[in-house]
Amino acid sequence: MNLNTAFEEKTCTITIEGSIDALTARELEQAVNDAAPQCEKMVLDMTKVDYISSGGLRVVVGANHTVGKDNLTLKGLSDNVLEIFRLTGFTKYLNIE
Amino acid sequence: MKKIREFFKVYDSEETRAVFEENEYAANRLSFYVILTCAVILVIAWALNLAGIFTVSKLRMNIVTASGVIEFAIPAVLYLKFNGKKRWLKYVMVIILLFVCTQLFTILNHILSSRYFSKGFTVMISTLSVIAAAAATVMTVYYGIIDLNFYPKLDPGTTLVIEDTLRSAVTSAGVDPARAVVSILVNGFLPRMLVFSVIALIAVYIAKHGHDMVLKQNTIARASANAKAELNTATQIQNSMVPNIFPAFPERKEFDVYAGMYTAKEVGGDFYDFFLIDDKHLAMVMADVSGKGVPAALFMMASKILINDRAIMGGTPAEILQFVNDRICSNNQAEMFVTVWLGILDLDTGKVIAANAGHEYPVIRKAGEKYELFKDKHGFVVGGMEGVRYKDYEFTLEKGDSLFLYTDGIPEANNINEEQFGTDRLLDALNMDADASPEEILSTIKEEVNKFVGDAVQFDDLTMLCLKYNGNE
Repeated sequence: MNLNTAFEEKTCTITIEGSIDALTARELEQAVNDAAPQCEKMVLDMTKVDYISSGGLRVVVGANHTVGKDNLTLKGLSDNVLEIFRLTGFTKYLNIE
Repeated sequence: MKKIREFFKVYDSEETRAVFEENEYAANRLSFYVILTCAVILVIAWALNLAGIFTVSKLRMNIVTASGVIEFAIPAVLYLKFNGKKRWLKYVMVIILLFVCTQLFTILNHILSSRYFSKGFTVMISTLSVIAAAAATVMTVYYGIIDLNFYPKLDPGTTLVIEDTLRSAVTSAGVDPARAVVSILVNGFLPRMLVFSVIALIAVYIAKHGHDMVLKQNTIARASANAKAELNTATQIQNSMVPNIFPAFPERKEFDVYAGMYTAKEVGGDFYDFFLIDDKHLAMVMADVSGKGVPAALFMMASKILINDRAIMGGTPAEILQFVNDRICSNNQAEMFVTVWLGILDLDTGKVIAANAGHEYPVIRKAGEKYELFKDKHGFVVGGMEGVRYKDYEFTLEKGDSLFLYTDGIPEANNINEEQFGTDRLLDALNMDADASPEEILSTIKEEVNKFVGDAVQFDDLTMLCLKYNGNE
């Protein structure tokens, strides 16, 4: 998994590439925690994510708590990932573009 | 005396004793091979001398070789007799080497003695080495090769006439042998002894360090064994938390249920549960905590108890999940969550009221037909956010219908090509023998998943439950 964090005014965008599994979820959690204090809004760009495990979903829930529900946006979910979000009910509670 | 014994002792508990014994046996083996090698070298030297390459008197070489071979034979025979498995063998073997390998070769004794990881033994061998080397130096003056560099200064004008050997020419120059001994000890032996002392210190250090390392390793091994034992107990506790005696309700003819939980690590985050709420209602739970291992297992225990306790108090699955969600969210620091499918089966009518909190689709089979995914309504995971509402939905099981519940470990099982087992393969496996009993269904699925995964490691927990409704007659 590759992570890239970009800051633009008060929005930080974390671009994720690869699989978010039990091992890589920790790196993402670290990136979210590092970026959160420096931005008001957070965007997780998942265009290049092919799989997210429940450990990865946990990080998303954590990010949602940290920056607040209205300030977190998930972007570019592939069908695979969107299906996982739909199954777990995340689509109803998160801002997904 | 006690202090000396302490000094030589190389273990501090019964536990480490075995390790040190094994180490000593290995060291004995090394010493044995060194002795054999020395014996071979001695014989080669004897043969070369016989061939006239060395200039030592043949008679003398014969005596030296014979006595050397006999000396080497003592430890070798003892070693073979006891198969190297006696701790005292080290004294015989390393001390015997002392008598053969003096001077430069004393290094050999130091290396071998340090291999036994006993400080006392190494110090003893060092001391004996110095004594043996001193004795050898003295004997050199009388019998050995004289190093003229360390010999007392001869009077100016002294003429050496070599008639036989250099040695006889030098000794006939009239120097008092006692003076020669002192001179050689001071000029030759003393500087060498200083170097020996450095080697001895290194050898003692290696012995001590090796000894400490073994003890440290042992502490680590014990700690890890403790952790392992604790995890084993945790596994037992976790397994005993879910109903695991089958048939679970031998007196109930309305249904047949079978479930299994196979964790990837010692403990896992998946769980199933089924229990009678009252005489005519059976609750079924399939759940999967985010993450794996001990954190997931702790969360699993709390979730399982909360769901069970709340379900027994009555209410629909949605109400139960809302309550559990709010309870978990009120104190969830780690942002963990659990996906839950909860259904309550009316054993009289076959009607199931269920709610799905972010869990996989259940699989239903109508009697005589195929197993099919039941695309139910999904709510948010439990523990993700406070105040989440869940929706109940209903379906009815007729006589002979079956319900199969599972966690994502099954569809997401990976093979070595990183392909996932998927729900299609799951349905195929279920339909291989759709009429099979719940117990057979589970073993088939487990087998098919194992076959698919092949040599890849089981990464996630696998949990399933199968219920067959027999109707109320």
